[in-house]
Amino acid sequence: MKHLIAGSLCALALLAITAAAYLGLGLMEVAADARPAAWEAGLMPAALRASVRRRAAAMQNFLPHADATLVAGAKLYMNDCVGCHGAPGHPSDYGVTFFPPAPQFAQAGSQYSDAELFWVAKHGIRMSGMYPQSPHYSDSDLWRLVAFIGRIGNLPPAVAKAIQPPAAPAPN
Amino acid sequence: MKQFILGFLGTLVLLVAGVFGYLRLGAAEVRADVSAPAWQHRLMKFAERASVRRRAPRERSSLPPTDGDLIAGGKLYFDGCEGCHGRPGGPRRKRVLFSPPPELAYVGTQYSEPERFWIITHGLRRSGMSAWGTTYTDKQLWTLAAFVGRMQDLPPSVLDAIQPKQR
Repeated sequence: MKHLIAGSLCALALLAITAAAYLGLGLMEVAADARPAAWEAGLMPAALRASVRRRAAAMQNFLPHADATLVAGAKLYMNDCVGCHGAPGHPSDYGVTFFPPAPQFAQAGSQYSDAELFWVAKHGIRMSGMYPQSPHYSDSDLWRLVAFIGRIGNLPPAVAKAIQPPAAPAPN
Repeated sequence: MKQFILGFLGTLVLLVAGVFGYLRLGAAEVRADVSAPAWQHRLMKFAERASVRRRAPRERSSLPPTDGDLIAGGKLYFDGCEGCHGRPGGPRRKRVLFSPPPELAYVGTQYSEPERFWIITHGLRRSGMSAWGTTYTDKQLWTLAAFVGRMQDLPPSVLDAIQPKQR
């Protein structure tokens, strides 16, 4: 028994020293433009997904499933989200300059439900560039945004047309 | 001896499984609007500093520190950095990003000029700090690094020259 405990303490001490050396000697990668290690690329997004699923309340988007909702959400999106998350047909160059990169919704969609997207937008994500939107948007506006993001890869033609920037006047 | 090895390996397996379970079960806090414990913030900043110091180039800028370079750097700063890092002479803001980007005009920086050059070039992982190395030339990156180092102590003529013109 005494030896078992001694072995356990040795393992703890070794881990603590290894962690201290890894962090203190600057061995942790901090460059945003370096590729993440395979374990990090696999484990960290999975941990984020799991945490969001655990914490986001099961809520339904109470807004009507109508083009007007999508258009209202699109206007908010095209103002404030597009810089990092890209627009339909136009992925953001800026959104991939930091790490973790901002997901390009129009191309990649989202693996989160509406309620989870709402929660992420409201609270932001730690250790990323995603900041909490709750100081800037009402809950209703956030639901409008979420409705739009959920459909961004598959917009009704009327909505797609409504968010197009006005065409430049044809040259005479 | 057998007992010792059992205790040693058992503890390692348990800890690795514990960390893996903690992450995969979604126990990690991910909300940016909930403050992280101070020890976590300090530990991450400490590790970040150590890593930057290890990786940054040793050589200094080849630029002579002239007002012209400071002005060039200041203009780039107003273009690309001011939104997150605040403007010289502007109000200090309370930021909710985690980690909050430093309000450079108020808190200054503890990094040397080559270290600042390295951070601006490569960005900082697990934060909103972009890698600007492909956007700017090396010379521009050095002028930015020089400007950020002088932000709390800018010659009035430089401060005046870089302010976006009032309309």
